[in-house]
Amino acid sequence: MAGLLLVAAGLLFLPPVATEKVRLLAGPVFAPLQDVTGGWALDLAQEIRQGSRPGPDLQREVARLVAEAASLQDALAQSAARLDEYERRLRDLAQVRDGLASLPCRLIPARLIAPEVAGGRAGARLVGGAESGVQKGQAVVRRYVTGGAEAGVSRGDPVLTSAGLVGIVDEVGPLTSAVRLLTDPRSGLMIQIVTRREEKWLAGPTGVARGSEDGTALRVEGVPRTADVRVGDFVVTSPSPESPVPAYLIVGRIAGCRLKPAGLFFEITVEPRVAPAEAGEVFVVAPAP
Amino acid sequence: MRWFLVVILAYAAIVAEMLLFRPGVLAVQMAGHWARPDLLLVLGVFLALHLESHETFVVAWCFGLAFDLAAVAGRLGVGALLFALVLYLVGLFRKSVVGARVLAQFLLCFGVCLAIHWAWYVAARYLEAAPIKVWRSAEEALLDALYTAFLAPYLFWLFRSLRGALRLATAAPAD
Repeated sequence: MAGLLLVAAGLLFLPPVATEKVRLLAGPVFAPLQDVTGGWALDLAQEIRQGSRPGPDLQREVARLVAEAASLQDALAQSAARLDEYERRLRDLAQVRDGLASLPCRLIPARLIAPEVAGGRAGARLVGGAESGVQKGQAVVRRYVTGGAEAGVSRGDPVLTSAGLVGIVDEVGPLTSAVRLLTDPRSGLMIQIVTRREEKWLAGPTGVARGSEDGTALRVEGVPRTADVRVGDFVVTSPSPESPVPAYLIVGRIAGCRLKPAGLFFEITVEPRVAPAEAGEVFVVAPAP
Repeated sequence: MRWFLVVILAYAAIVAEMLLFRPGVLAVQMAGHWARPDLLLVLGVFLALHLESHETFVVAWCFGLAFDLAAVAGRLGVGALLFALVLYLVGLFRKSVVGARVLAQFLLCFGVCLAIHWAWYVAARYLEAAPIKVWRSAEEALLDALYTAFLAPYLFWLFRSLRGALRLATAAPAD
């Protein structure tokens, strides 16, 4: 018994990276069965929830249209930010080649399992590891397409329109990986706000988004009080070359926007576009080979 | 006791926990926390009422390590320590516990889960250098403990029906 206590105490002093590596090596022990049946359980739960409401056909149609409208709005917001960027780039043709070089990418299909907010972290496991080409720091996205992601995206498809960012690959194992969700308090993501004023889409101010302390939303820092931001504005990943994440991926929408009387910056709360609980099938954005 | 059956039961408990009680399926979101029952812990409590204390310690240590490995946060070893120590205590006092009563199963699993999960959440936050938030951790542990305790009598009934197959040598008191 004393030996086991000592082993447990020794494990406590393992560096976090080693701990994560051990978890990833043990991941396939728990993951295979989930990979087969996890989607089934999620689909069944959604089916039961939808089936219990009155007028299921109408409800489904409304839900589909609402989802489609939200998807189109996301795509418009992304396109607006992208157009703004292209307009700037057209002024300097030398930058166009750099911009195009970053466009082709490879989408690695994967499955997100066991999303969890616990112990000051928001993370999940990804069934997909080094053997399928996943690398540390790559973006994990979910695409919103009517009819399902499977119908719209295939491996190698470079189109990322209306893709919602779920998180970033934190550690990679041979078969599974660890994903740091956007809402993790340790996340720091460079973002840009996209606004819609009088039917015009405008690329707005930039800032840094971090996960809230409860791991359910994001807080944006660094948006000056002079900026024109409101609840409902869109948040996309920043096109800045310093950002390691692909540009213009939908992060979410502004859910709260406060300004203290003497504050220099807005206190912005962002609701993530992709609820980790709903993100089963995802794609890892990898550079083109 | 048939140890391989215990291993299979423990594995089934973890997979069921991660498969069925995941967010979006049967995990319940309350106060910004996805409450999930700890099925492995219920199995641990059941075994603690039937095994000798030193056997309970070893089994609970292994269960705790499995809990650590399946979690997304926290250091390895925290769960192993907590499971081993708390379930060892349960094993020591098992003769005073009326394990056959539903209320006793509910309260025992509630108390054990609350203690282990509270300490685990606090330790995980502390070791991740995040704000410790004792009361937030207590709130999260309370929700987990309630969910676990509500399922405990059903799981106890299931495990009790497997008692013959498991060949448990020591009968729980007041069974």
